Amino acid sequence: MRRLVIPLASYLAVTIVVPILNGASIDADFREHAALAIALPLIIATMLSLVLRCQRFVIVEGHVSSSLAPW
Amino acid sequence: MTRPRLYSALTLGAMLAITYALKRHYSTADAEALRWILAPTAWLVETLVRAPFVFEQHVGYINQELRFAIVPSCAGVNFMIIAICAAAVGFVTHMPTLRAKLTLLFASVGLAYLATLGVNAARIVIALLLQAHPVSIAGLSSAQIHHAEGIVVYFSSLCALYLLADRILVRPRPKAPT
Repeated sequence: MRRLVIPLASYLAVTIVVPILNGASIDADFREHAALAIALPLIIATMLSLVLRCQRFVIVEGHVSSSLAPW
Repeated sequence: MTRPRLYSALTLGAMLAITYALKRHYSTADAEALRWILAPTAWLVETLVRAPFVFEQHVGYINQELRFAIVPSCAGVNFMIIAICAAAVGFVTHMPTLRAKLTLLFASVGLAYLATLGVNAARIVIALLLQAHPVSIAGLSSAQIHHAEGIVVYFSSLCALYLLADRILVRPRPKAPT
């Protein structure tokens, strides 16, 4: 997750923080946009982190044959 | 402040100036002013779906048959800004000299532009597929699915590009022993 903090922070800054700082009205539409723009990247970042962690585990620890790894 | 930190701060200041100018331009620009990004995007989509998009003043690129328009709000400029910020913030401290830091920044701008064209064209093609073959996900409306699809495509691509740049600039694979 640490490696994806910068893309995640950049994404949230431009899609949520900047519009709020620019005075966007925080109405139902914006709240819906914010909910999706926070939830989906967090899910994607978590899934990618798990994949990267598994990849490191396979490469560094050698517990699983590389032919079994799906990447 | 040490010299490398000063150079990093200068580079990040330049990044802020570039992204601010880009955001300001985007917030006021119409379809005509955004042709620098809409035209190549429309061309890529045309090539991928083999259907012509015609430019219409004050609207964007339209295909009447597909009932789809590539308008300023889906030009992908925010993605380009995010990509520039992520690249500059993520890798500026790994560059040893001011020249290398500025090269990173300007390369980020150029590569972010090219990445935006590719990612946005892919997002539009997926949106066209979803329009032709509607799906139902957890009671979301088609507009919400279109929105969610944009977030998934943009953020996944951002992560993939960031990890690729990280592999190239920061953590190159060690050479296999011969």
